[in-house]
Amino acid sequence: MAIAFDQSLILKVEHAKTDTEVLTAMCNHLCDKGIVKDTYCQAILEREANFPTGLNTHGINVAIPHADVCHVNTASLCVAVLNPAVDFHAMDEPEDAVSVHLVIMLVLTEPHGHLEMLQKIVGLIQNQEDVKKIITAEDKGAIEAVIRRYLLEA
Amino acid sequence: MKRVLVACGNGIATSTVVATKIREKCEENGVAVTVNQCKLLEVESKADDYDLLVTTGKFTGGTVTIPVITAISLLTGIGEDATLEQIVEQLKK
Repeated sequence: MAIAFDQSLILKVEHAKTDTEVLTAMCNHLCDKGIVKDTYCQAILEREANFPTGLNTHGINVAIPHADVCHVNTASLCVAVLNPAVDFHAMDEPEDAVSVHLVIMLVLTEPHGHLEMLQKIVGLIQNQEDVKKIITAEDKGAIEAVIRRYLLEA
Repeated sequence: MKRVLVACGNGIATSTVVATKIREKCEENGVAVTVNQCKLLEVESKADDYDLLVTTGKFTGGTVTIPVITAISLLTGIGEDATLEQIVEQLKK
């Protein structure tokens, strides 16, 4: 099943102070575009509070928030580049903070589905050179190009 | 046939990636497995039916008697091979 993604789903978030602030901005954007239902934002925030998604990559850290499929209308991805980095909680050690530069929100419509896409996202996270290209990109076109290369051409 | 339970926050996303990597690694090593996924909150009630629990998030939802391996490395890539080896070794026991 196709995953919607274009430059309008790339956000540059500046001067955010908390993970909640970042996630709320992303959720509101998705909601405004009709990609998710109005229950989505609360679901994402609750999910992140109970099971955080910050990943410590020992390089540029990434968070991969997601929520139950029932809150989603259209499968898509939403990417936020954070400047400066914002503390998220670590998935494996929720009491630890992870300073996150890149948030890749997985907006899924099929439980256990989108496997290829998920694996490609993980492939991207593991390739720090390309993660660096995303967070240092001047324009959204460059960010889109890297992500498309992983998701659509890999 | 060994049984592996893979758990993440809601049993949908990261557990799917981890479950697939475990299936592939076990196949390469000739270890017959069935891998199922669940939410971390469901682990305590399901774990008795399995030989190994693998989690991405931290498991704090109770006590289990089966071995537990944390597999955050399969998402970050740091120490991924070592974790997969550890899983295979555990399943060969």
